[in-house]
Amino acid sequence: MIEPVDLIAHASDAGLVVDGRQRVLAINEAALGLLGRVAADVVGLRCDQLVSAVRPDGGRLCSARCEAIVGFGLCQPYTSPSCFVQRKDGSRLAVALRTIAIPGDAADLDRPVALIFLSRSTPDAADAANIDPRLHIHTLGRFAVSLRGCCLPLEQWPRKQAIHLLKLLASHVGRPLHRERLVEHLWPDADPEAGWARLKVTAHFLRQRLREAGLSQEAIVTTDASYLLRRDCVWIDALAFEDLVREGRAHQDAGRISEAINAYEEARKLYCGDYMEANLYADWCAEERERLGEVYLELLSGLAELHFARSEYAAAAQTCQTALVREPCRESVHRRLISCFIAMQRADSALRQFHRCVDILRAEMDVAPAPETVALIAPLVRGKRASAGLR
Amino acid sequence: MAGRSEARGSETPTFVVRLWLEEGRQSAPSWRGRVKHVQGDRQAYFRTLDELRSFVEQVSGVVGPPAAPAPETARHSDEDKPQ
Repeated sequence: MIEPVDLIAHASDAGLVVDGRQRVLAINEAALGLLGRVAADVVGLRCDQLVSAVRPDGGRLCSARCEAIVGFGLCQPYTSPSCFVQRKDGSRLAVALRTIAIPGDAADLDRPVALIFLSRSTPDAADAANIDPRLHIHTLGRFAVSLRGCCLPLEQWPRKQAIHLLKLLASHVGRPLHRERLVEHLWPDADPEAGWARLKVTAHFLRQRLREAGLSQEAIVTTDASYLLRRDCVWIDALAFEDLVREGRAHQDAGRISEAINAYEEARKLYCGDYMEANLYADWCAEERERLGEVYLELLSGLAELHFARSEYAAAAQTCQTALVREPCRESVHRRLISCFIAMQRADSALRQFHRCVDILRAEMDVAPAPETVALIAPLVRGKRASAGLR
Repeated sequence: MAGRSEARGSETPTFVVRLWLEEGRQSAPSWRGRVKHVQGDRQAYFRTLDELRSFVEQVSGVVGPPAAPAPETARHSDEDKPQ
């Protein structure tokens, strides 16, 4: 029998082999060339980190929870005739992505599950017409800017303050930012005249780079003494994220569970990390980071509730665990997780979770759990005592 | 690229406070919160304003004025309610 690794080695197209955990097991020279990588870069990477494919509309195709991988395990191949992959230098290439699912045990995550082939393509006229012409600004997680699926090489820009200016404008999209405030953020030690002069040069540089990237409209406008990033010229992931959460909540309130789960899951995919995570110690984005973090927790809480209502206890439990990693002191989430374990008849896990809840609340807030939290595990404790022959 | 408030050790500390309500069917709802020092890595959970105040004073090194007594109207609001 020919091994998948040998098939890849002798393929004319760029190809790689992945296992059920999304790990790259083998990659051929053509794929290394296409992605601008060397073999040593690829060892230990997951395929979503290596390929980072996005759809033509800018939405992410690859993620850490790839649905195609689950399909491969069940011997279902996957195709994306038009998408973009990210090269190591940050540039994007239009490719067609095709796969061969390898039959085998679906439960074995360490076996090769698929061969993935990437062939370079040029988006045809129809695709080009469907591509969102707006500037895509990614603020959740690593800051990135893309246009028609191509990432702008921000790390190569000689004027780093232009990136900071774009971040500031994106954080106030559709609202004017006075030049004095911008100067204060960008060059705090400069006197006003020198600061304004630098701001003009930096804004000119930024506009020029956006034009060169192919942005047809003037996205940054100057009004009086202020600068403004036009809302109609940009798509910002944080705004799309909040729209989806709102949509999910509306569906949830109206009892449309499937639609609510879909909207929440789409929103969850957009939350790739905290807002402007590279600016962790900056106060200009701290408030928004916390606010969006809270929206994300609401999303997880809503999603857990919906999965629980559909008796999808494992999914609900996993969602609660994600929420508790971010915010370990939410007692209502601990309760939901304990309820999931009880529903799955995992009494030991439920009791362990209860004790974790007690410990964290005591350590962080010196508070005892609420009566309803205690009430959840009371029957389990009684059951344990009874089985141990205690009164 | 760091602005005045970008780097650690900035002169003016900034705090972000997150509040949430823990609600239950068998107990009265209670406010809980987390306060985070933006320019550093420290954070604390709290249940009362005194705990919040204590964290801010500890991190900033500045002791604020004593807590003001509750306004008359607020203090007597329960007593003023019709029986």
